[in-house]
Amino acid sequence: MNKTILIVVGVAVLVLAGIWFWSQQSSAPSQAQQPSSQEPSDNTASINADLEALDLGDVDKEFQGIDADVNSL
Amino acid sequence: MKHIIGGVILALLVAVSVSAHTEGDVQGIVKDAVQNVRKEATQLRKEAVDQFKAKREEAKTQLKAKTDELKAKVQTKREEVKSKIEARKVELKDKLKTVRDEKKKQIVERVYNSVNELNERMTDHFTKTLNQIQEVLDRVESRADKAEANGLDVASVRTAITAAESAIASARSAVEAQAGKTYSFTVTTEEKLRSDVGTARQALHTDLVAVRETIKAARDAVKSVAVALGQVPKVDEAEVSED
Repeated sequence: MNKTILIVVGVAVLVLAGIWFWSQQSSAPSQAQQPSSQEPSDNTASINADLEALDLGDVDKEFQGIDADVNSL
Repeated sequence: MKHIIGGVILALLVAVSVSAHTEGDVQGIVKDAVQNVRKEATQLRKEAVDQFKAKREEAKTQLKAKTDELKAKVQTKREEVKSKIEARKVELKDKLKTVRDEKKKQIVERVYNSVNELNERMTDHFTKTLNQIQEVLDRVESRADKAEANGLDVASVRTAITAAESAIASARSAVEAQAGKTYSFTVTTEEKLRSDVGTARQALHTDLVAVRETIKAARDAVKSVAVALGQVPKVDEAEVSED
């Protein structure tokens, strides 16, 4: 009787450990799922987003300090 | 009668045998044809993939060469004008000896430094932005290459790419020329300091705005390529497998 209980408990522990291990594996981001290279995407949405995000520079803003000095002369 | 029945049976057996033989031949011919078509398709696919890979490798090399070249050219121009800027600074100090107001002298010298530093900073920024535009264009080309390898028509994209390359080249020339410019002041009298300094300030402003316009034109040209690319049906689904 005791032997049977021990076997049942042992199997239950193994099953629980298996479930815990599986849940850890599926929740952690797999290394294989990470992009292997740093090459940016070439789909049209990504291209358009990067074109919109380009900073051409604000010339007038850059002159603010200089203009303050020139105006104080 | 027996002979007749035997002859008919024999004829039937021969007919069945010949028919089975012909059917087997036809099946073999069809099988061979299918195999040949498959082989040709695989070969064509492999050629398209190889062509795509070669194109991309070449594009990567060219992209790096272009970005490195612009950086190097800007750096060379900067080195060339460095001594010029320093020499004119000394000349300015000399000219400012006629100005009695020490505070104004300091401001003029500061503005001289600021104007030339701003030119350096902005040309650096333009160089960086232009290289980013070139990188985006490379990605557009990559997508177009994939589409072409999958049999899609990208002729309009190729035309737009040529126009964008030209716009980028113009912007590169403008940035490079700007990096080689210096801004000095012609000090006339103490009373006219503001307008004398203002003239150099305005010259830099006009030049930087003009260069920025060329960068904007390059960006807009690449945007046009992206629009043309977006009009290719299912362009984002086109992929080139390495297998």
